[in-house]
Amino acid sequence: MSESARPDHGSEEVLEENLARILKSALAVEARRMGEDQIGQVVWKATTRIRPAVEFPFWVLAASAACLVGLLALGWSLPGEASLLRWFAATALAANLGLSPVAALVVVRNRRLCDGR
Amino acid sequence: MSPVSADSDLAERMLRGDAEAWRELCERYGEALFLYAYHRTGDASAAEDVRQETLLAAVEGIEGYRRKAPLFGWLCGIARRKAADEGRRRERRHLSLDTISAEMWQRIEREALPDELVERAETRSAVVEALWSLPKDYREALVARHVSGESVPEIAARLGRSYKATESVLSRAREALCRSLMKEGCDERISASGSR
Repeated sequence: MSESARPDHGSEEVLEENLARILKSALAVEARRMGEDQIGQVVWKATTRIRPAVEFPFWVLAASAACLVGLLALGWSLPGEASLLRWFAATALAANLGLSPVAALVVVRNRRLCDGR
Repeated sequence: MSPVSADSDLAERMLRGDAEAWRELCERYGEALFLYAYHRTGDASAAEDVRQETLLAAVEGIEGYRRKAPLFGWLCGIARRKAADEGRRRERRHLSLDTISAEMWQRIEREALPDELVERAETRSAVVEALWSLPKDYREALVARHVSGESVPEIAARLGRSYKATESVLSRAREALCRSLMKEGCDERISASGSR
């Protein structure tokens, strides 16, 4: 309802009366509750439905590899005395390579479990 | 939590195939869906069939639900098509579906609506859709006030709110219902439904 269309006190009674009429008319029928068998059918279909398989997120590996290439390039481009940074880059490379696929697998496995597959 | 946000959370769980979420959907909207289907079909048995087919179709199409819209509105969209199919299947008499324009709804604030409009199936189904797309306390307050004829103090006791807060809820609920009827486009809702 826009500000301009907002009813003043005079029209408020009309609005209330109209609302009462349309609501009573819409709710005049007794609503039937759903039976347990009907709910069960919906639930069964929802839980047994085969949803599209979750693909392994290969983009995670690609993104991870791209980051590592950058990190490695940075480490090796540093002057010779900064060997600590080089070791850091190498360790990060190994850790990231090892952990990324594991993380992606965990994500996929969890989603499959949630989907009941 | 707003109804759309609550719907969005429910839809998220439904999407994961959570059995409890689907049960909750049936319990939250089952009766309203029956009412909606009844007004579209004019028959209790057909309405039960339409409700069931709607919910089963919702299982198939939950990925298509847009999270920013009320879940009940989305279900009504499916139910409209199912009711039209049901009508064709049973070779029922199809009532004409003249559109109820937003302009027509605007008369709600200005003049007494004609009985013909109030009694129309399109009006009834649009009201059910709009009503169940509101937050629960808004819906309860409107029904208590305008259908059961309860006083504001009685509704305040029911909602566990102060008199002033209840008046405010009622006012916002009325505004939200009117906005929903006018703005969400009964034109679109009804013309999209074909005939029943």
